[in-house]
Amino acid sequence: MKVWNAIFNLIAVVIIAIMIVIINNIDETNRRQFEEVRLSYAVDYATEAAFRACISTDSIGTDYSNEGLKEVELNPTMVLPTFYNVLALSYDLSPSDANFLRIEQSIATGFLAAVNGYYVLEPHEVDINPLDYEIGEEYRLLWGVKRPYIVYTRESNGEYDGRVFAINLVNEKSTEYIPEGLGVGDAEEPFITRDKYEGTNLNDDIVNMSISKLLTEDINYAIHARNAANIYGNINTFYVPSSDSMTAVNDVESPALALIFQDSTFLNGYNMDVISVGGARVKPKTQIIGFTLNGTKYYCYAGQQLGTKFVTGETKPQIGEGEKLFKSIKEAAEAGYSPHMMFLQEPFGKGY
Amino acid sequence: MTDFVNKVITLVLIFVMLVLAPLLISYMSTDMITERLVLNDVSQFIDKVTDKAHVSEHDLDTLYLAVNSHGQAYDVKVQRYQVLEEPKPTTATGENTTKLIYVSMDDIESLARGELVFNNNDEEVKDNPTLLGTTKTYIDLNPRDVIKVHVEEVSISSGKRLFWNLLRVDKGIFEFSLAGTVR
Repeated sequence: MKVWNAIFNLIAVVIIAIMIVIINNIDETNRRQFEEVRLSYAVDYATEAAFRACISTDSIGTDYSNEGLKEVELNPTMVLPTFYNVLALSYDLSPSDANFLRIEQSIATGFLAAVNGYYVLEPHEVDINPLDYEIGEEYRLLWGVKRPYIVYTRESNGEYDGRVFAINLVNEKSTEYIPEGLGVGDAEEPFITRDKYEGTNLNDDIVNMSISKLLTEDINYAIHARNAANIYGNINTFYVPSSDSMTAVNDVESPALALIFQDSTFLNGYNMDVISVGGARVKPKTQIIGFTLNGTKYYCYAGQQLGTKFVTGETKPQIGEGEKLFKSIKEAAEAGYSPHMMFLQEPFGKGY
Repeated sequence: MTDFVNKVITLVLIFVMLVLAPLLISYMSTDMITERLVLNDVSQFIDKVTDKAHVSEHDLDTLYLAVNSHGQAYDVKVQRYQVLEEPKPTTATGENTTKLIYVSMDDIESLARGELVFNNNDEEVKDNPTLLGTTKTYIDLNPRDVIKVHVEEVSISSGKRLFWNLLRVDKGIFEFSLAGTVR
C-alpha cells in the first residue's frame, strides 16, 4: 500500500514538473508575441519616416495626379539616418554612433523603387582611416547606383530577340539601347525613346514580370553578399510576394522603400526578422464645402453643389467669399453649418 | 509517521496543481490581452495624430483614458521631437557634412497642463483677434516631426503579485515606447 502511495506521489511530482514547463512556455510565448507586434509597428513607423525623408519636395508638382509622381525626386541620402533615429526613439536607445552601427548591422538590405529605376542597399568595404595604408575590413551599407528597369524582349517562339529596353513606369515610355554594329537599325544614337511600347514586343505583363524578377534577383544577391560578411545574418533567401496569384508579379506603381531587418536580439531579446515597406501614392481627397444660401449656412461635399441629379432648377450657390473648406463634417457642423439635404444626395466631385 | 508526511505532501500537491497553476495561467492570459490592447491604443493614437498633423487636448485625454481602461493603471508620456540638421565641423580633407538630430520639444506636456497661450505670432490670432491670451487646446505638427509615446505600468497586476508572493519570481514592470512620424 505504501508503495502505491509513493507511486502516486511520484506521478504528482512529474505532473508538477510538466506544469512548471507549461507555465514558463506560456509566459515566453506571450512575451514573444507582444514583442513581435511591437517590432513590426516600430519598423513600419521607422520605414515610413525614412521614406518621408527621401522625398525632397513637399508638393509633388502642379499636377496632382499619378502623372505628378514623375515629378517626385527621390534622394536616398537621408533614408538610413532617419530610420536609425526613429527606431532608436522607439526602443529608447540613445542616438549614438555605436547604436546606429548596431542597427545598421541588423539591416540585411533595402531597396528604393522610383518610377524609372531603383536603388539597392549594398555592403561595401570601407576605409575607416584614410590616412593609414591599411584598407579596413569593415562593411558598411551604402546605396548603390540607380539601376534602370531593364526588360529583354523575346520573340513569340520564346527566344530572346536581342533587344533591351529601359522602362519608366509612370509615363510608360520605353527607351531602347541599340549597340552599334548590331545591324538592328544602324542607329546614329544608341538610345531611342518611344511612347507606350509601340514598335516593340513589350506589354504590361512582360514588363511587370521582368521588374519583379530583377528586383528579386538583386535583393537576393545583396542579401547573400551582406550575410556572408555579417555575423548577424540569418536570412537566406527572399522573394517579392505576388500581389496577383495569376501572374505571380507584384508591380511597382509608385515610389516605394522596403527595408529588411534581421536579428532584433539587441532590441527585444528575440531573434526576429521584419520586412517593412513604405511609399507614397496620390489620392484625391474630397473636402467639405460650407456656403450660404438664402441666408442660411449649409455644407456639402465639394463638387456636390454643382450636381444636377436631384436639384434641378434651383439656383446654384454662388461660390464667393463666404464659403469655407472643412476637413470633416464634424468640423463643418461645429462651425455652425447644417447639412444641405438635397445637395448631399448628388454624386461626389473630385474637388472643385 | 511516514503516512503523515505523505498526507502533507498530498495536500500541498493538490493546492499547487488545482489552485495555483490554473490561477497563474488565467492571470497571465489576462495580462497578455491587456498588454496587447494597450499597444493597439498607442498605435491608434500615433496613427491618428501623425495623419492629422495636429495634437489636441482631446486626443491626449482620449489616449490616457483608453490606455487606463483595461484594468491596469499606466503612466503615459507623449513627447514631440523635431528633426534638425546640424553642421559638423569641417573634416581634415575639407568636407562639409551635416548630422541629423532629433530634438525634443516640450510643448505637449505644456499643452496637457494648459500652459500654452496664444500670442501675437500665431496665425490664428491674426484671423481671430479674440483668441489672444486664451489657452491653446492644440498643437500643429510639422512634417517629419516624431511623436513618441512611452507607457509604463504603475500598478501591480494580480498575476505578478501572485508570482511574487508565492514563488518569489519578479517579472519586472511592463513598459514600452513607440515612435511614429508625421507625414
